[in-house]
Amino acid sequence: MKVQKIDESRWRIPREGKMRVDGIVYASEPMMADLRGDQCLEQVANVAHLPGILDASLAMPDIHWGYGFPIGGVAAMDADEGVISPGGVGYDINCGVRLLRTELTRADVKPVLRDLVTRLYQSIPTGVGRGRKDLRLGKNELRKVLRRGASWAIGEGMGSPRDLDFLEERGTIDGADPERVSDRAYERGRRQLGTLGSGNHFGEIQYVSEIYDEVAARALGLFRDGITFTIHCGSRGLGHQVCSDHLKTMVRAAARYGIDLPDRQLCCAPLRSPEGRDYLAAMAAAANFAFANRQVITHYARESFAAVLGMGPAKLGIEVVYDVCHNIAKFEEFEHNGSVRRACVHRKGATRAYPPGHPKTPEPYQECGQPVLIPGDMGRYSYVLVGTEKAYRDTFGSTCHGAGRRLSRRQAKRQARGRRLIDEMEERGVVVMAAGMSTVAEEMPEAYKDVAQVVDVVQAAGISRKVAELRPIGVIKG
Amino acid sequence: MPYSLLEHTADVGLEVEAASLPELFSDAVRGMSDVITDVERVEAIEEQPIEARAEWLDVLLLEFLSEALYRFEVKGEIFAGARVEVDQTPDGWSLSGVVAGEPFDPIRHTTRVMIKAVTYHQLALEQSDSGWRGRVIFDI
Repeated sequence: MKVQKIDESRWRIPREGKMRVDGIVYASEPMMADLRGDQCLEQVANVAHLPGILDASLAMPDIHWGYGFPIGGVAAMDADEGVISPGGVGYDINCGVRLLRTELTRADVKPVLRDLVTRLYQSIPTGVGRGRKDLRLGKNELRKVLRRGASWAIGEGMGSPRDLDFLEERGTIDGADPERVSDRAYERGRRQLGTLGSGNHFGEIQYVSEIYDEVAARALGLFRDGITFTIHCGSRGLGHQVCSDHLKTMVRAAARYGIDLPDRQLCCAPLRSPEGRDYLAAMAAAANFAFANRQVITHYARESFAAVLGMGPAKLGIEVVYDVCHNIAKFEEFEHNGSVRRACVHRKGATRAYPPGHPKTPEPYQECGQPVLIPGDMGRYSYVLVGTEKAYRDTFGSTCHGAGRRLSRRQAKRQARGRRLIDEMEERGVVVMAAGMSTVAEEMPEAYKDVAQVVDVVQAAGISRKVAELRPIGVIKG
Repeated sequence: MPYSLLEHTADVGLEVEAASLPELFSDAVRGMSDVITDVERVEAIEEQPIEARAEWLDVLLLEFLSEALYRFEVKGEIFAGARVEVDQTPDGWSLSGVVAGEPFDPIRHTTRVMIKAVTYHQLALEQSDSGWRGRVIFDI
């Protein structure tokens, strides 16, 4: 695969064969040395084959091999001529991250840390487990969740209307149609609202360990040693089923529309076709389930903090900093050569990063830009960044989403054999509670790349700006 | 072993070789269960009917495994194998028969990893020197 250096943080895969545009990969020199020969670069080139793709098939520095689309991939499709691809969103539709801030400091939490982790672990179902018994929904109620997203949960008393101001798309993707979601998807999702799931999903208590931009941090309500809570999860079995159902339709549709695909997992249909519209409506419904899921978990977290700290909501000050989607396709508008260009932006393992002054950036963040939440691994650190004008211009307002794995799950388990990981984490100052020990092994810190390097590339490239570093002290996992 | 696990940093796959298509499908569902839990502890106590159809043979494998995955997640059934017939039809391929397993017991069947879906990525099912060879990648 031919790769040309553009500058210190960008590389071009030049258009050839049936590619419609170039591929552009954001990476440092050492990262690119590792990526050469990896199938993920070929996947960047494969995505460039899709009809209606605008400018370039983009990849963020946390790029790694995915099925079809690479993880860390961004592809914007012309709203009229382009296609929609379920594989460009992924199975976990609207897998995303929500960051909560509090008025608490490390010193407040230290004496009760174990109790707090235990309480969170008991109130937020993890792993294969089903949702709480006090949240059992019939199909009609679930339909409302799919239509309304986070605001459904707020209507049920799980959060304040103010929370909505700080969610991407205010926690509801327009155009969701619960009728486009199969019975199987309902069955899989019925008992999973308000659950984290397994794999790399987590809830994490952190403290603000470093501030890079005082003004932006203040706007976001973050201060040194302040306690935060991060939620990472998505649309659970409901979203996975929506993706599977529509891939099945699209494999056939792509053949019918004469779309030539280098990999069937890239199957797609024109945005304006019945198959394309059906998927968009079902995907939006699944995305809304994920927004509602993170809202319900936020409610459980607020209750847990209040119970363990014995404080009222005002004193705790648990507010949503922001909530971002990592796996999504959405219609968005961009200024381009003096006119407005409408595109369906696929972000698969990538984050929206809108600049200061953008109408979709929440009012209190108008001066600093939209928050971007980048989880690292459970032993080191995570980052809070903000979006920039350059991201809006160069990457369809997109940036990276996380660290990316360094070891396969089996390699991680092999390296963990004979070790007492929970004790090791405790020595590092992190209390971990998990449904399964094999998840802890698979997710141990050294299984992941250093997220700081990923963040440094997006900062150097100017597509995001660092605001704060967060370090974990308590983790719950599936 | 009739199947081997493929591994990649983000996902897990399965490569299956068998003398016949029915054996391959049985080994594949067993292999999928082995990703989820230790399949040695899964007993073939109950049989239940299963059917699948697809335009392409490799997609038939995907449909069959997706059906078994759905039953695992929604009905709590885990399978040790299958006894199926695979036929060519005018519009593609079909499969019918039974899958054999037992109710998933979280105490006895420790969870290794949850599978979100069976993907089309690098999906393959083709004739080989010794019979048939299949490959499937799971999203986990």
